[in-house]
Amino acid sequence: MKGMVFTELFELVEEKFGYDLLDEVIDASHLENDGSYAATGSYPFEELLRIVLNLSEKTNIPVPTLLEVYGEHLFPKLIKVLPFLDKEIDILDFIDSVENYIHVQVRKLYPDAELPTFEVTSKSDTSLSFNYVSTKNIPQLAKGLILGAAKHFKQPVDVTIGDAQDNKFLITVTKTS
Amino acid sequence: MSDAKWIRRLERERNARKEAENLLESKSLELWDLNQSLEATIEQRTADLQVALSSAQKANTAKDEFLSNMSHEIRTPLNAIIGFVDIMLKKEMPQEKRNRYLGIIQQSGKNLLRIINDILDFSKIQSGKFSIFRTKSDLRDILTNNCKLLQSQARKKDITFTVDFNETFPQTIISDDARIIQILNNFVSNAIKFTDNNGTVNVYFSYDAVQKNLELRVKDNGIGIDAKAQEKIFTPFEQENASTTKEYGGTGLGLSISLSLIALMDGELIFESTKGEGSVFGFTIPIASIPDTIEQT
Repeated sequence: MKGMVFTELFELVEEKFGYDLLDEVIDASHLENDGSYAATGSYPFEELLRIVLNLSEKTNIPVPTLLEVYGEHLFPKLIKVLPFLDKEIDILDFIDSVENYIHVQVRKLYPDAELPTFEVTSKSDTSLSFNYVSTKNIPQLAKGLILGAAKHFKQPVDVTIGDAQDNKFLITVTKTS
Repeated sequence: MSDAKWIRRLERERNARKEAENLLESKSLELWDLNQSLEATIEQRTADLQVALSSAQKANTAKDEFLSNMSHEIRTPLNAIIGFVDIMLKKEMPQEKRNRYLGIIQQSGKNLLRIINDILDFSKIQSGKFSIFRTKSDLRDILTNNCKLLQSQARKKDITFTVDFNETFPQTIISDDARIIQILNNFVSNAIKFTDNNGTVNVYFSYDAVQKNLELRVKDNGIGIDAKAQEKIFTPFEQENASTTKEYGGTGLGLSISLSLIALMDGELIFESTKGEGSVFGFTIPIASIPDTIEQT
């Protein structure tokens, strides 16, 4: 998992819950580097899970909600480091291009990036469904990122996550305006 | 708030910064390496392209010259044929004169055929469609008879022409005799062409029973080839220099074809020449097997 996902999470925790709570979460998570993440480094995904679980415990906010909020917060930060994301585009077309354009570009920059697969199953002018396939099983982060994108592109959407089948979640995005 | 907490946070930030710096350094180094190898690749490509360009330009120039020589080479015998036929159609003439004209027409036709055959052979070799057919034949007799035809060419220039075989030269052999004759004719025609009147041309065939090699040497005491031009003469469409072409004619394909034929028969070229003293052209080719019924003569 890219270091940026850790550093941005820490910043969000500091902003919303303060420095002391972040210290507590880091302590409770027994991290190998004591939380010294560099945005451009790569770190075990399992450490992120531990951090999110401990954060949930300390804040009494369920993990899915945390991931969703975090995803929404993360999107504008991603746009800053991945400038090719920022363009005038229909939100559904944008999601449609994740697999064949965005992930291709990301892999050029970070050959070791571990990315989920987006299999688009249906698309209309107002709605798009895709299978989120990932070993990491955090579709809520994807949902948060989509909500963040929707906010950035000023095209509000509803996002629903279907039940899991093997490592697949069917995610449906519908325009609300 | 205790100092310890702040120290710990500072420590965490410092470590993260150091790690980021290390990553930056290693990325820079990677980029530098990449840049170096790209530069080297570009230099190599540029050099390759220049070589390719210059060889393409050379080939193009040679082909242009070839075309202008060729139109001359083809036009000369054609003009002779048309001209003499015109005269013969218009005028009554004694049989003797008629025969002389017919002889010229026949020779012009043969020259034309040789030129066209050269061009066809050359383009076949170029496109890799040329094959070698080895058959059992009385090579010794075939060579001897062919040399009789060459003898008459030599006689026209009062050139002393000798043909010898070594003692172990077999009667029957498995080889592509047509191609061997083609090379022999090319070497001997060149020798006669580039040797002054009253010179000598010697043809020597030998067979090495131990190495199983067939060897041909055509030696003349003609004009020889300048050391600088010795590589050039085997290049298609090239002769020693432009004045050679003007003075002696020819397509500049003969030696190139012979060299290719020798290579197709897995043989090696023999070539020695000294300007003003003469040249030796020849080959050694491996002979796979000799039929049991060898008749020594």
